[in-house]
Amino acid sequence: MAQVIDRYQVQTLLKEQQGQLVEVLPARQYHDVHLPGALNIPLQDLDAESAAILQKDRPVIVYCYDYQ
Amino acid sequence: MDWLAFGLPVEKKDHGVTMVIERLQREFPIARPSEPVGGVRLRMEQAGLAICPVLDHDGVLVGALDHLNGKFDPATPVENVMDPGPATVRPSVSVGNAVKQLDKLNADELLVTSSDGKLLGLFRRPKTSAEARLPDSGV
Repeated sequence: MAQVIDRYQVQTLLKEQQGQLVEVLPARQYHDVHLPGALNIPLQDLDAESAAILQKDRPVIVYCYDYQ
Repeated sequence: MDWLAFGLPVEKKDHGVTMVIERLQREFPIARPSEPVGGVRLRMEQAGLAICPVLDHDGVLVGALDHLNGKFDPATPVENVMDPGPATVRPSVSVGNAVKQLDKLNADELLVTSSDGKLLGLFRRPKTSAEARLPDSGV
């Protein structure tokens, strides 16, 4: 189930549960700067096929430019 | 942006915009509000800095001491002479925009803080355009 988390929780999930980071911004913005280890799946491309690369047994952390 | 605003690590392309966090000086004197100003000024002179951040015990920036602020009794507490609202910049700001801010302030140093007011470091005016990577610095 999706929930909003803060940067502390992000770091905890990455460190303790091998969280998978996904940036949903367009590719150009992803290439400018992104969180270390983040995958890029632009929002308009996000579907079951593009998300298949993610491992089901690890938390998935989706982020954008701002939480709003 | 919250992540960037707290100076947390990021990955970027080799010739992307250079951000302040990539040019941050992390070692420099700091002061506490109740300290005598005389000792702080001495540390500033030894470090060759024109500004000294004043922090509370949580590391939150509460002011800055500028050695150009006239002469004071060395025993005067820093909080009595400090600037309580110093100019700051976020770590995610481009070097180019930070330099513009220095130009406006007629200063060579800027305090870099997170969005919750904690001091992350000091940004100093680049000595050369190569150091600033000005063509890619978001100007």
